[in-house]
Amino acid sequence: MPTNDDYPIPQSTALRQVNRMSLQELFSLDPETLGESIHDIVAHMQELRERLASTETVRQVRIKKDTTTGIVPSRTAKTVSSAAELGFVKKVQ
Amino acid sequence: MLPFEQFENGSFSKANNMLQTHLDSSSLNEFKVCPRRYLYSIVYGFQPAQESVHLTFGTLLHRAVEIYWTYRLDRQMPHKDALVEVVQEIMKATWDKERNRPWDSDNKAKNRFTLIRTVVWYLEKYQDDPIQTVRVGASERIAVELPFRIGTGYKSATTGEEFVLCGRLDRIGELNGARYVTDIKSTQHTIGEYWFAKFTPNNQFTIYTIAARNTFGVETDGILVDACQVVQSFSTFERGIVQRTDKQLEEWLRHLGFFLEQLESCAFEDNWPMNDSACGMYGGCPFRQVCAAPSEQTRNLLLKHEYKRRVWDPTLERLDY
Repeated sequence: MPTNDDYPIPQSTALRQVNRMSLQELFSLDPETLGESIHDIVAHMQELRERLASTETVRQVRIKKDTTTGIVPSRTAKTVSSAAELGFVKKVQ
Repeated sequence: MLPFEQFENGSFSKANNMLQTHLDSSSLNEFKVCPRRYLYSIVYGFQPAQESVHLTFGTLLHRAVEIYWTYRLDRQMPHKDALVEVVQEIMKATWDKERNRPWDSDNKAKNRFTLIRTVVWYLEKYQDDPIQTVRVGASERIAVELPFRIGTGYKSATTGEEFVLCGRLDRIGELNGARYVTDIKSTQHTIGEYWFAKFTPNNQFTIYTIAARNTFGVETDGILVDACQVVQSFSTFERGIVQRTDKQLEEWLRHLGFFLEQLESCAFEDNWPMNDSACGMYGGCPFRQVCAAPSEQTRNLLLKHEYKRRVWDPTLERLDY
């Protein structure tokens, strides 16, 4: 016989996740009617960012391939000067 | 005699309504690129019926960042709340109420989805920005979206009015004791050293450097550019510094006199030559088909039916600092 422990009641955030509309749906709605769903758009975008961050290595490799054709990516330039340590590309005079 | 009714525009001389005496970087840039293009876009205020996707995207990105920092600094709102407010604003700004549908840019890289994605990712990245926005003026106004006007020292030979540079700075911020004017740009290209190099020389950033010093008394270490690379599958961000030496500024101001003289000559004679070497620049001039038309009558018909009009008046900014 299943118990409540086998079927835990979802937390509100989890519930929200389950009931969340897709980005496509959200983007097709009049923003005036979005109400609290606006939070879902932000959440979707944050998830996209996290997903991309987990594949960052793949993207870096792709950019490195570009450097062989003469395009210098900012990631390389970042190590050039002290300003670069702050997240800047090398100063351009 | 103007072929089109000219709208009230405070940036033009009252003595000669073809002569713009208050110029922002866009006006000056248009004239430098091509006097005829300047006539159509600034004097008459024509613009293509369909606004450039890059312009719309850039304007909304600026607006998003402006709203965000106003909420954070003026209203002391936490990041999460400010972010939601910004997303809401931009979602509304990209909704076509008349047609009851979202803005359709017809561009894979720059569209409503990538705009919202860029805004969220950018603000997440810079929510704890090490750059501290400074306060300026007697009112200690937060240095965000600062309108400026600077007398150039050049006067019109025909009306005696002084030519004035005007515009708006995004923000003045401080980092490790140095001050910077900040700006944000979006591009579809990979961002690297070469990408930032394209801003030297650059009309807009030179004016910004002069404005920071002359209007707000802030000696800046340069323009700090937040570059947003926006492509279909991701947005990525880098920061770069663009600088000007005193000699570069002096040279630019000296050359400004040359362009103002040309501007006055065009306005006085109502003669606006085409720079036919610039027709293919910046993805192609939006007025190319007008200049290509065989007669003045056809040109005027094209302008009337294929373009919409607006008033480009950089003096409309309130100088309330």
